[in-house]
Amino acid sequence: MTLGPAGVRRHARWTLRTGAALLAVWSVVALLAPVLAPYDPTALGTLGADSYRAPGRTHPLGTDEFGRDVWSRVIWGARVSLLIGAGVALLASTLGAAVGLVAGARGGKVDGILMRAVDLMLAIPRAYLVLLVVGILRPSLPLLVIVLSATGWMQTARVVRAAVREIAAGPYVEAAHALGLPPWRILWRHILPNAAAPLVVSATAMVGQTILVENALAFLGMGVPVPTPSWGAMVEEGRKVFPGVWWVSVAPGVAIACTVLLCNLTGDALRDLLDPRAGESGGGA
Amino acid sequence: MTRPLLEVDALQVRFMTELGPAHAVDGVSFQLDAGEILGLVGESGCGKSVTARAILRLVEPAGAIVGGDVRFEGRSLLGLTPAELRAVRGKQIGMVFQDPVASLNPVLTCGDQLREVLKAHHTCTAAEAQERAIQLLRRVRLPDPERQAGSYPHQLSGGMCQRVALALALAGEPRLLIADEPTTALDVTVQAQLCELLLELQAETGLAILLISHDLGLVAGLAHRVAILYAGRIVEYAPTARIFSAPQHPYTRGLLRALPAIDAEPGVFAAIPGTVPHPAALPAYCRFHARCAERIARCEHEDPVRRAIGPEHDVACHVDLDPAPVAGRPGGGP
Repeated sequence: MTLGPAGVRRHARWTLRTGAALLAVWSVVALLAPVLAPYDPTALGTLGADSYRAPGRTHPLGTDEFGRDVWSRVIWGARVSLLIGAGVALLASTLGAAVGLVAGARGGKVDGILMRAVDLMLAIPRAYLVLLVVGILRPSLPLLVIVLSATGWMQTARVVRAAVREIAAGPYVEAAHALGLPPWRILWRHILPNAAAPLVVSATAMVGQTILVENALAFLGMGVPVPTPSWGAMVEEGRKVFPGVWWVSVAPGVAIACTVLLCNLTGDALRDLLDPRAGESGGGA
Repeated sequence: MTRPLLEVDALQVRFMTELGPAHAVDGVSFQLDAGEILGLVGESGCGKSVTARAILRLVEPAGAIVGGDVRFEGRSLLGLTPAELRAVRGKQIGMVFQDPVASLNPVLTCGDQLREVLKAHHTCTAAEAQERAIQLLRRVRLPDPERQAGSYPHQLSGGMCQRVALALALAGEPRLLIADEPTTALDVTVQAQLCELLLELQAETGLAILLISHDLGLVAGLAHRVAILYAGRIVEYAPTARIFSAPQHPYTRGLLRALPAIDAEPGVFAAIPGTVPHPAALPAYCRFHARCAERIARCEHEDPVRRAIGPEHDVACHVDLDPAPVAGRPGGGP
């Protein structure tokens, strides 16, 4: 199927609305977990009697080894994943944007040093770095956010730097210089807002990526400490009894897949809408 | 005689290119008096835009001003600190560019952009800035200025954008306006309106204008004096009437002949053969030599020096050393 620019935009608008709406619903569910979850996600049932109950009337998604309600744990797990995803996207994007802005606007030596730092960071596999730090220090939610941000800002820095360089060489920035505006003012009012589109797109994409990494860490036992429910850890717990007791792994697995898919769809739709090359929305010269 | 407003003196601008250092501007000198309109004319690549940008030091850091001087009201602009330079840009000297839509920030409204400039050069409250912004838009004859102040550049036509760009350039109340091909991107009718506006502004406020253009017709209608630029040098400099009635330099004559006349035979264009030499590979002798129909032996050995041949009329050419100077010839007049 091929779509013209207008078709691409219509499609993107629809995807964006749907994706953003579902993400918002999911976030509200996570936020209201204490109210919405039918059971305490950490309350242990009677061992044996409550273990591995199949999905049914009392437990919509069954129970795990310790008799804990899987549906309640999935809802609570959304809190951790979305919080880490959004937190890292915010922190890493801010850091990356700051580095990219300075590098792109200053150019020369500053640019060289910052971009070599980016290359260096990208040359070290992220998983090693994260596992090393989380392995040495005790894993906790703030530590995960910090470590994942510190290892996740480089792509943003590159994207922002490229956008800033292109904008800074453009006619309206030259005109702003010719009008005698101060450089920091040009950077803040004229360059940064025009680099916002790629920044927003990369930040949205980062939410999904981060949730994947966070759950992979949890799967490896390096995520948020027990008993806080985390999807990755739940998948791992169910691995031993899979596929006989499928619901313990499948429920959090589907939650991960759906959440990441929603983030990526929203990010792609945003890119299609914000990229000027994807077509004009009519009007204008 | 009073001091000229702007003096450009043997200005040299160098860019580093793959072919080596290129002198895009190579010893350009001219003066501009208060209230005067000077046309700077030449083909693409002759250095006219670089000259305009070099006055406000906008060629840095890609290019470097390596020689000569630019003085505004007697003060050299080349030694200014960045802060002093910012006080000249927009406040003493305003500038408008070729592409009016692209030279406005797409994410700010016209009013926002005007207020930015006003705040940079004056201390004023938000309400004063807003009022002043609308006054400026009215002064450049933008229809419905109150409403258009809230418009984004993409909502306006090219001609309206150029009026907004002009309002921005005038916001600091400069005494000199540099207009770099201000009408090239516009329709002919809009061009004419903009020219009228420039003349009005010049008459009302005594604004001096440095008009950069490749369009001799436009320059004829606006400028008091004309400087013809070729390969980074001024080859002829004279009052407008004289450039059109008695052009001396073979290049000027070629440019005038190349203007399509309305009564000319259809399909006949008097193009000047060849192209401008690359600024990194300029000959040591006359730069127009290869394209000149009137060249003499001397042209291939010696670089012509600019010299006065009449009142306020300079030419850099060997040919009219000929005892019988060539007068304006048929097709040479406007």
